[in-house]
Amino acid sequence: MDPLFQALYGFAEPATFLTLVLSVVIGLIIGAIPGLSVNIAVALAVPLTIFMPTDQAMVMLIGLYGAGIFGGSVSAILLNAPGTPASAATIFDGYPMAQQGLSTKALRLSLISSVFGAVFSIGLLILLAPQLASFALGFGPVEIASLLFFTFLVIGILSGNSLVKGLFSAALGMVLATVGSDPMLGIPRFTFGSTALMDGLTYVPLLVGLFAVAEIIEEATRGFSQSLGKVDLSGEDRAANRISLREILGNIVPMTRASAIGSAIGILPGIGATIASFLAYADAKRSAGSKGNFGNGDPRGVIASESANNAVVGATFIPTLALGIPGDAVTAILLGALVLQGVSPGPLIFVNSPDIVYTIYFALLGSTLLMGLIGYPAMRMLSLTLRIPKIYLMPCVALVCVAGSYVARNNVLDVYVMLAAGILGFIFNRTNVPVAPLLIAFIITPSFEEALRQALTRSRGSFEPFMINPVALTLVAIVIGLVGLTIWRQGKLRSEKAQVERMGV
Amino acid sequence: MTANRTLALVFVVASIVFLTVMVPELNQQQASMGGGFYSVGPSALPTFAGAMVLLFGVVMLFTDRPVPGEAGAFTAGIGMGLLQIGLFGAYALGLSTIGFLPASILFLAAIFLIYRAKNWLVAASLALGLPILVDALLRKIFLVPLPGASFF
Repeated sequence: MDPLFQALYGFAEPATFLTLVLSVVIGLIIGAIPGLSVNIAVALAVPLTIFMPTDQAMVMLIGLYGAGIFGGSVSAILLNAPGTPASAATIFDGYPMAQQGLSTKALRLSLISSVFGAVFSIGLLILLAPQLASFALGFGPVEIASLLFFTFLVIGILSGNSLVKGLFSAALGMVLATVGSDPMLGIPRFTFGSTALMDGLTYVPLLVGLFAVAEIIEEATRGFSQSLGKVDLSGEDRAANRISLREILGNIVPMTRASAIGSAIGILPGIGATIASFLAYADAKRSAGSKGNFGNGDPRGVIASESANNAVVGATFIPTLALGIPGDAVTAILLGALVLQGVSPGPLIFVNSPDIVYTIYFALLGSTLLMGLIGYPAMRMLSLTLRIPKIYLMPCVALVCVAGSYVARNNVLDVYVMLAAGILGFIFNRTNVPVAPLLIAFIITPSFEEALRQALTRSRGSFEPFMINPVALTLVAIVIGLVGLTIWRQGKLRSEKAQVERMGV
Repeated sequence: MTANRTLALVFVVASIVFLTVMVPELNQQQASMGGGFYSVGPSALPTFAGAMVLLFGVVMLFTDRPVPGEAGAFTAGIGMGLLQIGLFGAYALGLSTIGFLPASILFLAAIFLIYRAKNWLVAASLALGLPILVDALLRKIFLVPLPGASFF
């Protein structure tokens, strides 16, 4: 059967479609609850996907991803607290709109722009990913090793506010990935005699710990809030909150600009939706000039932020599918889930498993459309999720974390790995060390080591092939440029901060 | 010393131990297994990665500056956080000794008790109902048994 029809047939199966609907609903709810990010939602779902067929597993994770990012805007607009970090820029104008009695309008605009941004980037994914993959198909071990090392450096440099902390986190991820049997000789590395560690550290407990358990410990330090979010949309003026087609069409240009910014950021590994939404917001504010009312409830602020963060979703799949390089933490999790399903990500996926590529396209499009269809009439229902007190929610999440980590290999050791990762994630969060580089480096290191050792075995230990390879040299030039730019940016920020402090004194 | 510097110091010491004690053991293993054919052995990547942790740890240690207003931010509420970590540890131990259901019920009950859940009806329903639901879901639908005896 043609792979396209095979994917469509699999996608239309009742179990798969029901999974998509459920994951979109759950993604909207989890995204809406402050403290439960998209990363947590996807991380908690991965253990379940182990027992599912590949198409159903992908549909579930992608549904949670797209809907979760939009869900984050609900609490950003209604509570002035983003449900996910990606919605942080939505607060600037979303919350003032809510204070003016326009919460429903802000939420609807947020949903429309999220759908627009997502569809824009999915179109880009369908156009660009196969081209990039066909270019990458000619890569040998030297190019693959160079590309993966480039990713390691880029995620370290661009994630978070500090170049050093990002690279430190990525280096630690690489160390953790070396636990287990050596890929070429089978020599056990750092297993301490444990047979359970021969396969290495399983990524399910690691990611559940880094994202979900770290957040639970963080909430525990605040004593798990018992208060209910006081949100009521029923008293709002319905006419003032209505959105006309003319209004939507009038905002097509800001939506397109923000979607383009989000897509461009999404293609680069390690930056993510948060930066994209801030950049798009700044761009919308700059382009509006004196006509804008940004910061005081300008709808274009919500539109820019939400179009951009959802445009990241499709775009992050471009390097993920075409090169096997995750664009952000969630696509790193998806990449790991694909490996668990026995699918090798990278350019060969377009040759060996085109049906899975089509399933991912369908899942992205389907989840976006469902998000619009379910989300639009369910604004009031979604706002009710803000009333769930953390004292009941977080312990339940903790239980799911433990069960999920255990079922990955039916081994209690993984529960301890989860706990250790949770403590590490908590410490990283408190010291502003980004967690995403650790996870991405952990996932790409096995492929990097394999390619590097193949290349060096061919050249009998000589690094000369790397020195003369055009792909490797281009990547080195890009990294040098990025390091220079980052050091300049951080120096500029430091001097600006010092100037502000001097003026304050 | 700031929290960042303490973190950096811990990882600097750990990476030195890693590079000087743990990695050389790999080379000995490779030699004993006759893996000399490969010019790059199993210790190459761990050496590189460990050196990177050491390098960036040292840079963090010497370049980190205290941020005004953030003193004490790392330790805020840390007692409750450590308590939660202890509860997780006890839960993991309980999982392998008394089984999933009793350990989960005790874990949830302990959290609701320690962090003083206001509505005891909700707390009791969750503490009893959720573990049974998760166990049944995993066993019946995904055919994965959790450790210990079950009610079904």
